[in-house]
Amino acid sequence: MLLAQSPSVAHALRLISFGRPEIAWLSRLAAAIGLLTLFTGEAVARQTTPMPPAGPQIAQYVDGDRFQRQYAGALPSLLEEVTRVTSLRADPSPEFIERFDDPALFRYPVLYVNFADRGDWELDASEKQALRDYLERGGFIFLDAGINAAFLRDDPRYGQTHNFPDWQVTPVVEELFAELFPAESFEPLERSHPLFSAFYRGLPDTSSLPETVREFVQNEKWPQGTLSMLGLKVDGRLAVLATPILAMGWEKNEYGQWTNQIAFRVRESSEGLSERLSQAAYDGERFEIRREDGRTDIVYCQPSPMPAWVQEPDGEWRVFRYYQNREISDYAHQFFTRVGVNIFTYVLSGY
Amino acid sequence: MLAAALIGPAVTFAQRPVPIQLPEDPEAVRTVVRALEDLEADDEEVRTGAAMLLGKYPGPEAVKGLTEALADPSVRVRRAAQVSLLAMLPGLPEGSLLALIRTIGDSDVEMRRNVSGHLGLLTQIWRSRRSGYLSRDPSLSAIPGGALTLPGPVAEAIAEALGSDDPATRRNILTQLPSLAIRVEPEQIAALIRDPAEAVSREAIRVGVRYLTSGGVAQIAAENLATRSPEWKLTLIDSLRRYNQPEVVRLFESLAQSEDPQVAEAAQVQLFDRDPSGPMVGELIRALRAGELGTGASVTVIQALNRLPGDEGRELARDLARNSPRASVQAAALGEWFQMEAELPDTSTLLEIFEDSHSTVREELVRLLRDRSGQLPLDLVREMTFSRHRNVREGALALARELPPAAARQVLLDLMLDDDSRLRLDALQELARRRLPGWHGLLLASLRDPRPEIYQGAANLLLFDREGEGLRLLREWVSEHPESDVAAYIERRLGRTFAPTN
Repeated sequence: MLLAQSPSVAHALRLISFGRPEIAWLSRLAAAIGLLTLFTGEAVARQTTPMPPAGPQIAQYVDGDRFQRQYAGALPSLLEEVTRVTSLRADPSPEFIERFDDPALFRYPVLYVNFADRGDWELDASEKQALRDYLERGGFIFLDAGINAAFLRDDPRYGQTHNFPDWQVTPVVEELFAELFPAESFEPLERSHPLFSAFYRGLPDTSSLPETVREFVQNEKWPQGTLSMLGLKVDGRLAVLATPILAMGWEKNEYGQWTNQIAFRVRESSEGLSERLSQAAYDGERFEIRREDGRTDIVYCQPSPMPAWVQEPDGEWRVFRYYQNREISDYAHQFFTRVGVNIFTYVLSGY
Repeated sequence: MLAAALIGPAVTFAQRPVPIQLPEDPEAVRTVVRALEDLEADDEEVRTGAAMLLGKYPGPEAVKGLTEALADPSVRVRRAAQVSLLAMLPGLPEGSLLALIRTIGDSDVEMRRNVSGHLGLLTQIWRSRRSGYLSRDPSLSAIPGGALTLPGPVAEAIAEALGSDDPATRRNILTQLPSLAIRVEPEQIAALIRDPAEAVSREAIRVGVRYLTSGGVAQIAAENLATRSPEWKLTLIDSLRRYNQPEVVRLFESLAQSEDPQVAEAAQVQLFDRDPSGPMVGELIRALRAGELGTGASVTVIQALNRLPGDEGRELARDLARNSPRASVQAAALGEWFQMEAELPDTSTLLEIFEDSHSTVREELVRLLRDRSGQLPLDLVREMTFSRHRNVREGALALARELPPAAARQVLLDLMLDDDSRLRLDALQELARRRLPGWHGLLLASLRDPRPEIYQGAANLLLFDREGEGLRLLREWVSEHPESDVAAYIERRLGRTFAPTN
């Protein structure tokens, strides 16, 4: 168990070195050992009794009433899961901050923010300075729902129920960080990025999914267990991670059951449908969405904000089909939770 | 090719009773007519595409075509029609709802599995249509006061599908069984508890107590404990935790000896809850102190502490309230400790807890103190105003609202010294709201504050003083300081400066 505990050592060192670059190498060294263990120690870690939490490690930003925050139980559930399946010790109760210039922020190396938990992303000078300082001193921000496809931007709540893969961050977020770090910009995380395999590798078993959905998930939706994420580096280190909403898939109730129903949006076609779609009437809006390869999809909503079909750059039109059943919902929860565990493992291990 | 995505929590029909929308746009009508023609094509690919496209036009014609397509000889077409119709919920008429439910008997396993997860919702909407409760369209609410149980053949098809060869279908039906109101024999449930597929068995245990006695469920479950997983056993413990029949207690005693630590712990917690003087008390309390128990188990044990003999429970609750490795446990212990103590703990102990690093603990203490507002010592609340934790200082403000005027004034004056301008403004507002002595003077002094949120907030409070004295004072102040930021703010706010006072 000595090896299995080493990520905690890494984390402890990271806490000590937080904001002190002169000793940050210590945490990196321990992290390297810790990660090695995590890659090989999954089965062992699962069998152990959860370690008592070492104390709060994660801060969560909520502007206003924290009881009204988005997916209130999601982060605690995920942190419990991190403690359960890895040898990291994460206190399931995050510490809340209401402003980015709250001095308490600097006690926590990781800040979780749901984009919709801040009504207005126009920060004042004090908050901007604090955010810049925090990131320059080694802090990490996980901005959930920081990627909102164009059709989701009219209302922050839309982005809470659509995990739509776009390859650019929400413009207000992009503008903010461009001001804080003019030399840096959000870049897509490559599919081979170590974050995607920090603890879990690949997809959960897809055999429970309907045939059509299974094929789409494996080949297009989440290839090799990855999904659209964008990162901003500060001093060469991944400092801000933006994702489409993930928290929708984390929350469990006190009996260990998932609290939300999640459906899949799948692109489908059949012979002749492309032509029919190109002529079909729609009463929603039409949006351009950036693809991973830099080209553009044109999404038609029928009605807004529900994507109905898409014109792809190769000229093909496909329809969005919405599949929902318990197997799909459970699968989505499992996947999002694995992604969440990977993110926190990557970050808390000192990466 | 690109990745697609998810949509989130399904909106329940009860939240959004949306009737079918009739297409009015001629373009949409043309699209639907063309798709309906395609639905008659010989080529199953064309029919499949039509069924997909019609799903985007939830009008009566499209719904009728899709409902008929549920009987198409091609499984691809049937699947496409089923997914399209399910996406139109809740706006479907009775006939389409029943046709969808009947797909539980389809020859294709994916059709059966897909609808099995929607049976509860489909039945609920169907009942609403029958009673006319939800529909805004009179044609959809045909038989007010009609029978609300599913037609016999449909109910029989569901009951038969409980014996489906697909475990996911069996499990999904079991999950929704209570809301389907169909007749199921207890023997069938007992067989499903014995189901080799654990997911099915776990679901059967959850609903089992509605069809069998809790003792009956415990007896069947005890037959093959050795072959079941820890997760299955945890489900069993959770499902039976409210029952005290002897078979249940015996089962817990057996599970308390499990080699799996989580199962043993969960069973021990249940036994402790029933008899806090039992043999496992020492180990459980050790685990509780060490933070090794899960949150739910910890709370169960903490809530039973008041039944420990003598002062042991109270002392333990007090210790845990002051120091615990888990914030949730500490907060629960704090609540339990307060319940056991008639008097408030001493101020120094409370201040010590207010220094705790967990915000949830500090906030729980504020909440408990608000419930004891009649016992609040002023020195405690005043000390809170100097805490390094913002939420404790906010707590002081909340508690000040419960204090008599003189005491509240002292606390609010302390808060007026706070570095945090929002807190300071809140204190100012409370002073003004209660019209505590000297509030006008404080507001006037705040007009000199360099921070816009403070001087603007103070100006607003004076501006809207209902008795007019504040307005007069503000007018005087602005006339004495015409070049001030406050004067400029008032001009912006009102679109003009104050008229000269006579």
